[in-house]
Amino acid sequence: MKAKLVREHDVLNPDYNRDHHTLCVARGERYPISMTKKAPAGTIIDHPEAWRLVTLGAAVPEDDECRQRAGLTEKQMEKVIAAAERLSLGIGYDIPGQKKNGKKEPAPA
Amino acid sequence: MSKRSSKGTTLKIEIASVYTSVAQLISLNGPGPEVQDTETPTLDQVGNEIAHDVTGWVEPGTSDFEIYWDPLLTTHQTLTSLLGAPAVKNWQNQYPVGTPMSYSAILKSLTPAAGVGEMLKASGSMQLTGLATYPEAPE
Repeated sequence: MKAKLVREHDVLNPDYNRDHHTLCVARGERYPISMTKKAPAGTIIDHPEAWRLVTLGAAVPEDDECRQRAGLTEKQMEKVIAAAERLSLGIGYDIPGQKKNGKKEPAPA
Repeated sequence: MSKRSSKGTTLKIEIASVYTSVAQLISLNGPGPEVQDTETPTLDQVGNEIAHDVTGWVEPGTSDFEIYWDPLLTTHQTLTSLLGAPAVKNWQNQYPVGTPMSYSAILKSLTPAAGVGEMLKASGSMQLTGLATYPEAPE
């Protein structure tokens, strides 16, 4: 199942080794490899839980399996992506169907 | 010596190898590891103090957080899904300065709370599966 990141994100660094890191700390040395690395927008994530990234507004589906499991329309995806963007900037959020200023938003098409 | 504001601190959970923030975080406490020690007095010792020694083990500890809970918010739904399908997850406490504090942990509980005059909240608790790696200054 594949999804494509819409913004830069921290992702697990495959070169990181927790045991080596623990050893370095015990020896008082600096472990040179970061646990995470930056993945730019457009990075393809191939993972059984990739659909969750779509529902979080972090990615868009890259295959039908992911699109179906996420179950969002294009318009809903735009909204969750915008909401995630606002959250990442600390601005607040609104999500489809949720009341805003006492008024219920129209259901997404 | 300096004082750092906690504003901007985030709790991140790894989903499908990507770290995403848990939204609407109010507080984040821990992890609190504990070095194990044992009492080692002997019958033939001179003084009367109860001596302690380290055993070499460290309990990785727990980490707790509180959020303004929104049952419709996807990041919060990810947390509740971990109660139905428990799993060891990678987490990060990102403080305003330094590299993140990283650890693996099991989400043990997520308790919603509603009260008169209060917003909907939830408090969560995690059990670490190993020692956290602590923030370092950038090179």
